[in-house]
Amino acid sequence: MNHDSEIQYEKELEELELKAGGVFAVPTAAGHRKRWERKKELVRREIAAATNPEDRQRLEQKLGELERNELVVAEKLAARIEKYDR
Amino acid sequence: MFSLVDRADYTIHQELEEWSQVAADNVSRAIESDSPLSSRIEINANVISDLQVEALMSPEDFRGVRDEQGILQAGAVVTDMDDHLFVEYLVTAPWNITQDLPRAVKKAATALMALLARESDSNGHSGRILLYAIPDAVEFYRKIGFIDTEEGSPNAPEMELTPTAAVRLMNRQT
Repeated sequence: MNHDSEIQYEKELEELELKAGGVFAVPTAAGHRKRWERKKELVRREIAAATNPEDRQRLEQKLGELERNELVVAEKLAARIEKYDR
Repeated sequence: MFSLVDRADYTIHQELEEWSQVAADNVSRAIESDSPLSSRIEINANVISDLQVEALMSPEDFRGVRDEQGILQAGAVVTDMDDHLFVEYLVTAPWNITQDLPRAVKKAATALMALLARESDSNGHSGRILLYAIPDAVEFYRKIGFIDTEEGSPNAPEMELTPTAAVRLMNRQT
């Protein structure tokens, strides 16, 4: 890309970013599920690898907290997610 | 030049609270003046409110960029998956829609996306990123190399930054 086309590219990019109106990625039901499942999966792996009971208990508490947080966020997002998924 | 923020701490929560207040003011002003930007400003305010909750619940998933003055200009929520980085939210500061000086900047989202592509690369995913876009942002994503995956919905199509396209974005000066 030469200098002129680079300048043109940057100008177009600037306009397209402005056109997006400040929002570029939004939560959806599939996205929400995917992200929180991954977060829980990583903790489950740590639980499976834990060798002492204290670590296991701490991780199980962490998993429980994640499950509660997931529900709180899901509840808050329910109406919004429905709109984006249409 | 922008610098990366890689988790939400107390300062970030305060800055997001300020974003939220500015976004709410923007909504009021837009309604009063019957602004053509009303709808975008309202969506921006809603997503900022959601981002605040996520930043509190999962501070380790928050990413952002600061400008040279140290002002937070864009924020995102990301998760490292097996073979890509997943971006669930990406929003810019409310003064960037209304272009209110002196805080407004340009290309904060591009800068954040470039830094996320680098994170994806350093996590072993060759810059690969997946997200659900809003329709008004689709052309922006195509411009920086994303492709449509044909998944998602009309209001939130899934888009992917492929490893090949990520190279150019990663090489950008942010």
